[in-house]
Amino acid sequence: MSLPDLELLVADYGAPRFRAQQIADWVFSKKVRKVDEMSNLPKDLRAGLGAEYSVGRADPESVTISSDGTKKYLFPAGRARSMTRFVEAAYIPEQNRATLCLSTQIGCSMGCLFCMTARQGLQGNLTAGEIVNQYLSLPERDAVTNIVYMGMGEPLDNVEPVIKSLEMLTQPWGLGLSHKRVTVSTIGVVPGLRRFLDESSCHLAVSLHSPFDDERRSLMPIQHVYPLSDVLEVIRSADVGRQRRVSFEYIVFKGLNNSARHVKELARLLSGIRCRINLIRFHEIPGAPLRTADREEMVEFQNALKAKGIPTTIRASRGQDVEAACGMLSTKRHGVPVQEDY
Amino acid sequence: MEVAVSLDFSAGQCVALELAGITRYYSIASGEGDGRVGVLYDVVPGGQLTPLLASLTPGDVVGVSPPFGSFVDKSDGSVWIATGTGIAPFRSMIRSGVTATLLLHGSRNSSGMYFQGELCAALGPRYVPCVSRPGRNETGALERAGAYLGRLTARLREQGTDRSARHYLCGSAAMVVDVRDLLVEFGVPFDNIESEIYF
Repeated sequence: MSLPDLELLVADYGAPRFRAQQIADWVFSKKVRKVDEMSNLPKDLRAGLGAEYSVGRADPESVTISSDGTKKYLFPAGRARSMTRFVEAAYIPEQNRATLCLSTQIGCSMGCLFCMTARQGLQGNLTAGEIVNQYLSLPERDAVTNIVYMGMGEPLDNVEPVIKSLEMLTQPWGLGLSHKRVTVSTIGVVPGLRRFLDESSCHLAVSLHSPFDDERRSLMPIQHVYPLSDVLEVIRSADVGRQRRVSFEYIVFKGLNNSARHVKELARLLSGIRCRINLIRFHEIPGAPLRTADREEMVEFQNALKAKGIPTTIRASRGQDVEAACGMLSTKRHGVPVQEDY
Repeated sequence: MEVAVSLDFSAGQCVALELAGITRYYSIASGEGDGRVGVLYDVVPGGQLTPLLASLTPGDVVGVSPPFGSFVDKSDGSVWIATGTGIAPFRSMIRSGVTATLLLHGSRNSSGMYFQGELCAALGPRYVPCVSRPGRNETGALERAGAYLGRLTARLREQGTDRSARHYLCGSAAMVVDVRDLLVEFGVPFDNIESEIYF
């Protein structure tokens, strides 16, 4: 719970407001696992809270370790139909940094053509606590330098818990991490984007993948509802490039979206937005009619974008051998089989 | 549900409806010349807006946004595939004078076959309801009405599709993903597949 939520909670128990700060301190600073450990709370308050609430810590169920050191964790995320639900998160250690890629939904309903998470549909939304638990209960928590909301799900389709989780991560009453260490990625759900830009200072990443409407629609159905032009208008009007880092994620598909005309259109579209482009290697998934561009193609594309004045990086591909790389996370095999009627 | 407002929209587009501070998006189900905006919705158990919509009475006021979206087909030669309330944009297209070579509509039972009579009258045998779990007493009537008794994906597998046609899919993410995979497997170029996901 966030501090405002805790304040409402303690009020329900007839306790003074400062108890909320004490509880937040136990959960986020001292990182206790049980209400009973909150020794400076009155016994009756502890008993009352303990009877109805838990701290919400849940250790990972399992870990799979890649040959490159990336670790894919399976976290429990509540129960439905008497079965535990799960999400995957990836811990990606590098020489000078370590990134936690966490999930915000169990599955996803956006249907992007290139993503494994889309194949399982949406089974549910994570609560703010379940999102933050992926950090709090990570064995390598103290080594994490950066957190990215780039795992399972579309964060801005679960905007309320995501905003609360960002508060828990970055507020002084919470974990107190710098907002500059947290990035939220979105395919561009405009109402959620407006809220995120209004209520959070964390970095923004937008899944772009094509500058052309028709092409983007064939890759990402969301383009029908929230076209890229609307997303860019929101970003421009919020002048976000000056307040926070804005990056555009661009998966490079072989022979599809890395031509000279793509370079030209990207330069035109992103003109006036302080941003960078992160090129991502496509990790092929069963059934998707898309292919991975080779390294030379990606470097050529990168150089062409840089020549247009767009800072462009190629993201290192990590964890592919354990299906932890971009677009590969899925807990379909752990889910309750849902037979939709079509 | 119909709202007495005249909007200039293209069949296939959406509107946002707002009530009591809650906003949700719906495909327009009425035709371009109908002079009013109709939407189709299921009451979602535990949902925020649909129970409120269901409690409205004539004369009540609801907020309607300008139309938006690009799920528009004006070609007359496409294949349309829908589940549940995803039939709405296709009904709008038909009422706006657009037709299709085939409309598959998947539902669990006949209660999900929205606009069945209207669609049957407009498209004849090109309209195929696919009913995956018909009620005990529904089978005969459904078969007489030309329905396919089984899952929409099963019907597609049995009969295939026109690989050269543009395909328009509207409904749940699960259906869109499964049907899209199937169409790609059949050899339909993925950029010939337009998808509108209800999320």
